[in-house]
Amino acid sequence: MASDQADAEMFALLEEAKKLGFSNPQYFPKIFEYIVSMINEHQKVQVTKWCLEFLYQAFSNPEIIDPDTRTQLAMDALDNVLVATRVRDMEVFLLVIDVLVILYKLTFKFITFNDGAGIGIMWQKLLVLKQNLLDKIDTPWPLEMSENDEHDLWRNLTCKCELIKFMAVVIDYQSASNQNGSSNNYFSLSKVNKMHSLIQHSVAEDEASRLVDLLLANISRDILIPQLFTATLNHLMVIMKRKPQFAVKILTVLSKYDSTLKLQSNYQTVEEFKLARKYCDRVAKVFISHALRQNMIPPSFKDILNQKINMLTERGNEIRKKNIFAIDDPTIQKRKWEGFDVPDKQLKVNDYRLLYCLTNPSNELTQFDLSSLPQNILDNMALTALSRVSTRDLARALDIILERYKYNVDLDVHKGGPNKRGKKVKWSDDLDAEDKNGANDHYDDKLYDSEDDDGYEEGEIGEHDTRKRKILNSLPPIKEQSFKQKKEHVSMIIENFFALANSATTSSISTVNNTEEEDATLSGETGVNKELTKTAIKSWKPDSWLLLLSRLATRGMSTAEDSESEDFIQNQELSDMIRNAIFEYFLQDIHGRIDLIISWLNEEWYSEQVLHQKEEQTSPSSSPIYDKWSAKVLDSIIPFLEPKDKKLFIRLVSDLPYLDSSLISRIKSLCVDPLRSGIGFLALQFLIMYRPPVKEVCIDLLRELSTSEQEDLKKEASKLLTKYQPQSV
Amino acid sequence: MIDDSLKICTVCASNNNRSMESHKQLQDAGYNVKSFGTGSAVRLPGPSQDKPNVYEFGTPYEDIYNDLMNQSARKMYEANGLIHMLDRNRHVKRAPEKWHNNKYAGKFDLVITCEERCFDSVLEDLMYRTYSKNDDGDYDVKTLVHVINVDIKDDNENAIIGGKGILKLVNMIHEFRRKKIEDGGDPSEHILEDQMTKILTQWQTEHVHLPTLYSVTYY
Repeated sequence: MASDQADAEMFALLEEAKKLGFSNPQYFPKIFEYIVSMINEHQKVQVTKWCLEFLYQAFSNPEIIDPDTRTQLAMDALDNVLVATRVRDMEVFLLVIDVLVILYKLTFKFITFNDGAGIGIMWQKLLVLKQNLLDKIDTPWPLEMSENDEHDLWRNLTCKCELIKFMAVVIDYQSASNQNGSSNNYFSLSKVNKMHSLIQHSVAEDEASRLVDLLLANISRDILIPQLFTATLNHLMVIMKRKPQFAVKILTVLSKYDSTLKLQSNYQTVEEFKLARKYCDRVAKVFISHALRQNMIPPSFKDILNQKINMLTERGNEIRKKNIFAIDDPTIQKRKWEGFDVPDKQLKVNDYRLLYCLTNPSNELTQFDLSSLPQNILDNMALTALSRVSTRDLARALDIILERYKYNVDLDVHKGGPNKRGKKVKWSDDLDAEDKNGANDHYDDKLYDSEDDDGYEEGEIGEHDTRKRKILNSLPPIKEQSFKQKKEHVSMIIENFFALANSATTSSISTVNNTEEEDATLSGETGVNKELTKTAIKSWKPDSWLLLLSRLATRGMSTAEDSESEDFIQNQELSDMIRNAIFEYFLQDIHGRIDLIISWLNEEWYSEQVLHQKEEQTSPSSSPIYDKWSAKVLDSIIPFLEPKDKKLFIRLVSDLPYLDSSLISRIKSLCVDPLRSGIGFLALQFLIMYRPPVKEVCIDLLRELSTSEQEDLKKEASKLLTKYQPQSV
Repeated sequence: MIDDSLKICTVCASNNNRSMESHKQLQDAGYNVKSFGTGSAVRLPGPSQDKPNVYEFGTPYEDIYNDLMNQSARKMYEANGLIHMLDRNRHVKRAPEKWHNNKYAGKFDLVITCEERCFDSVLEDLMYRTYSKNDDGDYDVKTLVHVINVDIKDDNENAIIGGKGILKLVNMIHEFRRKKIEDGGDPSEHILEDQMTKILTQWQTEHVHLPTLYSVTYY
């Protein structure tokens, strides 16, 4: 209540301020600045709406602000209007569009005639605002998107029609006009200096042309949405008149328009579709007739458009004589359904089958028991389905299922929850299982709860199901896994990955003499690999398992938690289990698995860099995990290097993403070993030549070695120092 | 007047019969309504088919009424309902108004025409108004308007039937706007522009003899 009163007082004050500003021009800029800043400061829908109404009143009334001040104030308001574009409210968004129609024109004109320092920021703001609105054209903003693109085409036509208005303004301003006659009476790109530093004619014209294409999609789309179709045509007439360069583009689409080729949308009835055809035909006819009378049609289109008018007139006359709904029209075809039959996000019955069901439950296919199929066929079916579904549809489907799950869990919580009642929680799948065990006699006694059978729709289901619905079914509560369980799972994942790694190795070895077969295996052209390749990884290779496993250890286990938190520490421990496993795998065959280890360490370093960038820690050396494991790798490989392993070691030090003095100091042990000193010095020489960031560290190491008491070592180090750092010798 | 009334206007050729009958019915129901004609002049039936009575738009209904009462064909005008029509009109507003000169009346939310050629004329005029407008100092922001045609035969009886149909349609639109949004429903179901063709279809199924046209436009 106190908040309501405070709001009422604030709005009363705002009204007073507005009245004062509107009647006293000398106070207006100060009052304007104060009111507009409230959009950002308060971020309340009602305040934003009030401020936008104020802006609209101020800018659309010539008597309130003098023209010079008006442009300045328009530019001052851009930042706060941008804040308002993010508010999910219909009234606010409609006001934003109207205000921006004015602000866009004022700012664009100002920039046109004031090409100088400081204007760039204004131009950038204008571009951001413009793009912000244009990005919403294909969405039902401020409504949330639905599960179906076709449905969203029909949703929030108010804002779509209003956005068409804004698009028309942008097209008008960003394209040239004929410089003769009446076109001089309004602003266009022709008034912009061709050498303007910010407004490039070709870029502006290109965007205008793309926006015309976007508008024309409302005409050429395979379904008819009369509101969008007619709103678009009415704007296109203005564009045709003022911008004849777009006439061919517009008339080409219009000459191909034929309502009998359009499909009935899944979101309109046959009756609505019949009317839609009639409405659109008539407005198309009005458009063409008007354009012909006003001589807007180029000669090459006159014949075809005259024919189009005759056809539309004839069709209209025929319909007028009859009851449109009684006409049997064999040309009507429904658009292919591309959405989910059951997109509901709330389940009335807790049933695993219904939880995952997005198709019509009465469809025979839905009744089919897939578990009766062999595993390999199920695998192929699942992989084929995954490969065909679009990412967007898959995400939407998963979202629906998640929402259903969450909704029903919440419902259980609100109802008091099964635990509160001390009763066993059941899902119908569990019940099925118990049915088979002959335990069903106990259901009613154990689970029936007459207070909780609301929401079930009797009569729609069979007797068996009805009984089940009377049973208190509720979703199992989400159980947090214990750390021990998580560790077990990670161990299992690691085992599976290494089994995959070993099978890939075996497969490669067994097919080593058959190049074609090997290629097929590598590229995943056979068996399940083939399906998996199509679905998950386009170029599945025998060592792709490492990529997945190392990412699981790095990015997969990363957490936003504080490094002191229990979650963070536990995740690190799980990651280290994977790292240890990879490291152990490497130790089994150091020579054969050097590529693998380089890939893994690169992933470690990269993921740490990305993480730090997100946390805005820019220090390049902040990669403690990488430092630790790369040191372990060097420590483990160096004792086992043989004189012939020069290339292998050079490969390692050249491909590690980051080296510091600690890592380079490990090369020292190689240099001091008379048998393998060649590898150590060669590596140092390589790093001096090809990795400038560590050159100094290598020189320091050489300097240290040059003071050694070991003569051959001292000699070799001094020789290299003389070569690469003569001044220090 | 109804508090939440849209700004409505009815349009026929001469702003005498069909648009005035629906104007009266809407006005009596409390709606904010005006009416106009799209013809070049007000044409009313004369003593014979080739001799219509022609008046300038703006000529008061009272004057037209008196003029017809003073003509020798007065009995005929009384018989065909012309006198009754003008008597009704002079109690609704002063004079027939031309659509093309109605800028003074402001912008409407809903324009209902009573004949297909009037529908065409309104659309063409709104297109013309938009593209012929000189640079207005960027003060004018276009407003969305729904233009609906309800085709009504130009006689007394059909004007009354058509007027009732238009009133029903306007009532349906206003009732739709008053519906409260329920929790959990799709907000799109409460947006007039989204549901306009559904409303029109529902209305059309109940008024199959009053064919409709529809367009969204701006001015």
